Amino acid sequence: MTVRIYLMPTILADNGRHLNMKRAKYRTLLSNSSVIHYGPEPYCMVLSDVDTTQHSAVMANADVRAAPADLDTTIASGAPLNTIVNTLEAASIPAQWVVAGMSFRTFVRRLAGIFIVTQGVSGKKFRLLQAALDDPLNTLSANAHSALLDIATAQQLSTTGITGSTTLRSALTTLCAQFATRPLFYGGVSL
Amino acid sequence: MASDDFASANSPLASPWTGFGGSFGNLRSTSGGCRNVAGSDADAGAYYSSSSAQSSQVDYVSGSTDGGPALNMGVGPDGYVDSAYNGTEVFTFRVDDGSVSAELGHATGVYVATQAVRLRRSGNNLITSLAGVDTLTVTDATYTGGSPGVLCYSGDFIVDNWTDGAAGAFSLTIGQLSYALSLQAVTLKADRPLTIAQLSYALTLQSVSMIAGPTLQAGQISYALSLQDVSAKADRTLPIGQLSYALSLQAVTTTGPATTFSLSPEQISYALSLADSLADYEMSAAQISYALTLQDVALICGRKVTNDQLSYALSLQSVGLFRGAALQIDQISYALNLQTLGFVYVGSFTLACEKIDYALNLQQVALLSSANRGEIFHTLPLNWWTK
Repeated sequence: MTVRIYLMPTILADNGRHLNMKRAKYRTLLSNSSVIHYGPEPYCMVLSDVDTTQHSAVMANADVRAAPADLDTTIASGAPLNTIVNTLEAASIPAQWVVAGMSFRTFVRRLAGIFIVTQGVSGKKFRLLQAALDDPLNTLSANAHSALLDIATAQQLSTTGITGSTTLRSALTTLCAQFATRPLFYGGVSL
Repeated sequence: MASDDFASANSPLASPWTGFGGSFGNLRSTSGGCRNVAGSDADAGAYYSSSSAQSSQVDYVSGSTDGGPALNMGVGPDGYVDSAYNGTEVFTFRVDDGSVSAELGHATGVYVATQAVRLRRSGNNLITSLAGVDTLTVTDATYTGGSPGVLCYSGDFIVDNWTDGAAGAFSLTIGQLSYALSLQAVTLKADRPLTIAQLSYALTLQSVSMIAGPTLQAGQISYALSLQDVSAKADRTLPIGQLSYALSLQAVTTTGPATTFSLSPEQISYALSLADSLADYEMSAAQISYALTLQDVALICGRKVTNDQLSYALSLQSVGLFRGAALQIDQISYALNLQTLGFVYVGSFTLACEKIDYALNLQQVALLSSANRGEIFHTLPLNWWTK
């Protein structure tokens, strides 16, 4: 068994007990899962301890991406980097912070940070991506802007340099860069 | 500590129990436990409104297992619930605005009669344990306030002995642990000491008291102490009693804002060894009797290693001090060995040795800016010295 981290869509599904419940699209292929939702957006990170059969079954789907099992592997320039950036941007996840040479451990931590912050704002009943990633924060409602700052404070993140004219992309990048040096305790393992 | 053994037969749960609200029905006590009022399958739950504890635990009694502890429940209703509705797996769900709207994770596991099911929060994580064994950990910080409670969907699902586990003096006491202690994502609050009387070969912790949700995470403690992602603020102390052979830390104080705390062992009897560590903190050892050994250690972001007194040896190998780091040794009696030591970022570091009585050995040491030396009385062998 190997701990793997996937980026995959979420779906609204009826699991026989709960109607229209959001869950990871390919969760049923996994015998265990720990999901970090990207707020109300239809994507999530999934950590699962999988065998090769399960991993192959999940990766057979074109809308799934996986980090390598060895998170200390670095992101290669060229096509590998472009694939990651394009995948994230297509999911409305800011990706300009992803660079060649970055370890997947750092990548996963920062991506989880984006998801945690975005989900936290959702808990305050606001949707960050009501604005486009390249829109300034002051296009959000004042309450939504405030909710973002509240979540940053709750996560002990510095908001220095983030103003109303800062783009949502830049704000999320600034906040979540601070997760890079924080070990991520996720799914019962420390990443 | 808030708790309820549901002793009142067949009566609605009274205040401070509060129904989840929305479309959720209420709960009632029954002979030997608690169940939903309807007596048939229906969303039902209640939270203990006078508690803000980050833990909820029940003993499973009987019935189909669609239900379990609830946490961070509040107006909406919002929060989290556990369930083992399919009889083979445990799930953690998030409740948003009255709907069980998101599955956060699942793992193999079943409820066993008389055994505890617990849902607790540690930082951004929600951890489900069955009979004391952590079974499922999910990451979600959408709701972090609210109150602990209970969900009972199955009409015959009965639980008993609810508790929030937040005793005024909640403690984890281990009389003796022969070899090793591994702590991960442990949240220790002011009134919850972690006391270990004796740990024969690895580590002894006594009366650890850390306030307001820092994480003490030690992946493995056998001959090294590893602290990662410690978010310790002012006035929060980590006192460690005695570790006979490998590491002894006393009155270690972690201070300052999130990423600028210090690790200050006042006395280390024999050896402090840090290997392959990434330490984003300041380490000050007031006295180390025999040896301080750092291997493959990175101290980053303006941190420093300060030894006021080191009686015998300081050995640093493959140590990187980055960005304004300082290695400052006021006095070392016998030997300072530095190998493959890198000080990076010009003009912002200091190697200051006030007094070294016998030997200073530097091999493959790169100093990219000035080095301040004090007195060295006997020998100073330098190999591959680059300055």
